[in-house]
Amino acid sequence: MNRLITFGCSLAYGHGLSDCFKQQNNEPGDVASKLAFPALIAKRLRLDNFNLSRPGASNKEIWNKAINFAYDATDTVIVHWSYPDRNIIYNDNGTETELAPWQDNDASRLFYKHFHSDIEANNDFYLRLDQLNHFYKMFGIKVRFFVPRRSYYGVQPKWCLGHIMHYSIEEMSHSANDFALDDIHPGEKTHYNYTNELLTILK
Amino acid sequence: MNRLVAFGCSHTYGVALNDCWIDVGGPGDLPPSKLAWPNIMAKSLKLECINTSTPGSSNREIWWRIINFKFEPDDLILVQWTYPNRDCIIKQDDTIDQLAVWKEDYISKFLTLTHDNHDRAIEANTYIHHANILVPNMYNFSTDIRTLNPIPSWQTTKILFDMNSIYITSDKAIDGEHGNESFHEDLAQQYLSII
Repeated sequence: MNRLITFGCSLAYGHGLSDCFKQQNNEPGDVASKLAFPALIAKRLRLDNFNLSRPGASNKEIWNKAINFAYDATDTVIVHWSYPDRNIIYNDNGTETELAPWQDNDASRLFYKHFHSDIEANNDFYLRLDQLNHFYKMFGIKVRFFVPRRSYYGVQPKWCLGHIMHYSIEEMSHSANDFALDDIHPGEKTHYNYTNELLTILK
Repeated sequence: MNRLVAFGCSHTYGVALNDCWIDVGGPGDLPPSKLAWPNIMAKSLKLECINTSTPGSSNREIWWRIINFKFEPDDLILVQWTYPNRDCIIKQDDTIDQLAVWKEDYISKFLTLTHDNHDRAIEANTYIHHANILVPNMYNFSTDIRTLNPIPSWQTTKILFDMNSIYITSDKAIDGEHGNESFHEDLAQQYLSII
């Protein structure tokens, strides 16, 4: 069976859906939700579902997983980018240091105080988008790129040829007032409707 | 072909060569050295030399300069990638703030907290790879190839020569750190033999 490979953050993981939520601490489940759009799309297209997303993932983490994955020529890939203000450091010893606004560590505090800016995050994102786009093209792998919401990202530079699809799961969730059990992430109805939208371009 | 366009750091700029050093301990506002390898090559090939390098450049800065440069179809383009332990911030007005351990305290502290050779190598290889996607006709060289390791499998750009292979044994310039005039001559000859 051919595969659907999805890279993303909590939105693609299905954080907060009924099979992916730990009520006592608002945390996601240990495995990606079967009710999230990657699983629903895979089912409808009869593909094996490989959901490699992780709640809290930055665009650099998504890019790193995507560019180092061992693909088959028949794979269909969804790269569901995250929010531009997150970052990650990959350490020599195999550990990772997450830089995120909610992280309580010195590196994060210094990063957001002195170094993070919208333009920096944009340049970094478009570099990764363009590079991945070229990478998939080179290997003839079918890929679609999405972001949570287009307005989180600035104008796309001319040199970046990666095409971001206009569908937004976050916008759908907010306009339908449909949220998951954590009251933050998109609800089941939104994942279902988002699946239908994405199927029109993935079939 | 009319122009030789070079990208790099102080080793491309020619810092500490006789025409690129002032008493205060740096090149100040002096332009790139006429004794540095880009100009030697351009002279030999009878091309106009456009040396875009900046002392203290990071690979991110070099990448940014390459992807925003207005190339002409017949430019001869050479890039000498630098050490990955540097970084920069590209600002809205297109100015660049260089980040290095010798800068202000908070920068040094941040770099100390977040610096990791593995991560910096990934980032450096990303800039090298992407710059070569956009400008595929570049000749790529490195200041020290060991610092770019491990080179990821997706990094298909070939580094044609490692400056460090002749730098280690070379005589140094006034500052005792950068290569002197004869080092730049040797480097230019190496690069000429490759292109």
